[in-house]
Amino acid sequence: MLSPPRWSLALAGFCAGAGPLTPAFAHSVCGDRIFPATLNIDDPGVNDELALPTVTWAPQNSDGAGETDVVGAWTKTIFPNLGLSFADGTSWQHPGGYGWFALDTELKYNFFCIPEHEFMGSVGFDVSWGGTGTGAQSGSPNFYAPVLDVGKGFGDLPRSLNLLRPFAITAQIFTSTPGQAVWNGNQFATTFNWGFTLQYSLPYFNAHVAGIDNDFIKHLVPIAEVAFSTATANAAPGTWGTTGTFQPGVIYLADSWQIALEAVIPINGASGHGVGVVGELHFFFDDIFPNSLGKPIFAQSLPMFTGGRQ
Amino acid sequence: MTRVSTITIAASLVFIFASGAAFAHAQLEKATPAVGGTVAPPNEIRLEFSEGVEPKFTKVTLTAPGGAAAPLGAPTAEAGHQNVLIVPIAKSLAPGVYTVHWRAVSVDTHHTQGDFNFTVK
Repeated sequence: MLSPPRWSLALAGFCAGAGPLTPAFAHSVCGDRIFPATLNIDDPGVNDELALPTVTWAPQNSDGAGETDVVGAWTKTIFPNLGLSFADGTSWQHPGGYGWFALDTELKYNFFCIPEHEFMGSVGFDVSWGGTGTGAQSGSPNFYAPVLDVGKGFGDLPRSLNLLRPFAITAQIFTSTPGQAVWNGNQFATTFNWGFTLQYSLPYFNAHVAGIDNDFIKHLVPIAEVAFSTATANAAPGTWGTTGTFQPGVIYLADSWQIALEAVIPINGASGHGVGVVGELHFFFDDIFPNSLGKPIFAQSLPMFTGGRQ
Repeated sequence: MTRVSTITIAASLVFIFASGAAFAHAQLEKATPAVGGTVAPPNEIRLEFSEGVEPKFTKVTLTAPGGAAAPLGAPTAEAGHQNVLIVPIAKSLAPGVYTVHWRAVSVDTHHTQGDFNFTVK
């Protein structure tokens, strides 16, 4: 997973010209459900994967600058249900200039998966490392974020509601706290962040509800993501309030990779102006390199609640 | 090492390794009888997955309209197609709605599962 702090930094930081969020997240499996990697809200599992690149374009952030960000994220599993992510990337703003984002890391633990209910969740701890940004992205302190991610597929609905069974929701909640409230003369806020996705999986529809003959359509997952950030402490004057984005789009889910494209619609002027775009290419290392790079370092899982099933 | 070169190396590794064989979670691509379909009594269930599967470790069950299990033969891979599983149906099926449950283990040991209905007319 990549960067809740950047997510919050970006959302809260639109007012400070920090730019749009550009995270890239993991995919995961629980029971019959494959939760694809989503672009804004992290998915609820842990896996070996690489998101490269994730490209975000915003016509006008809240400072009035155009912005293009290119980031990548790599997640390595230590245990099958515990992974460490590294993420970084660049930002170009006009006006504003160029710079690398601060390095972002997250340790994430998938602590439950109830297969028959396609219900899973993870907790993580994310650190955005202050002082590692450059150029226009330099000058921020460490940010610390405890994160909760959950996902629920609706495959356990009765068959009389068969058409609803391909739906799934995922959600994320976290707080992002700066290590120092004031850094290089700038004020950094603590933020409360939350968001969710609503997905309709045509691969699930094809395998569980009715066969789809078209090879392209049966790999699509239409999706909408929503994310909000609210300053809760130490916000600079004029930056209190809630920012966020609504991101409708579609994911093409192949066997060992996926590609996603979403519109980025700011919810208010403090979140930016105009409709942006985010796209991502994502590789599932557990599927591409199952016996090397995509394999957990230790084979034994950490404790996981499964609702009585393995 | 600059970050640009780090990213470049990472990207290069991906495409170098990706040029080799790739395996994945076996997803059900197509079934006969069709998922949600209505058919004459079939002699077998044919499951076409996105990846090769291991018949020995793949389990398929068929639940009849009353909830009882319909007898099935042992799953085998279709000749020349490791991703296609054939499961013989031991007895002719009476009309009604049947549920197929499958749990597949792909050749890289990932397991996936699913279920679907079909109707015998």
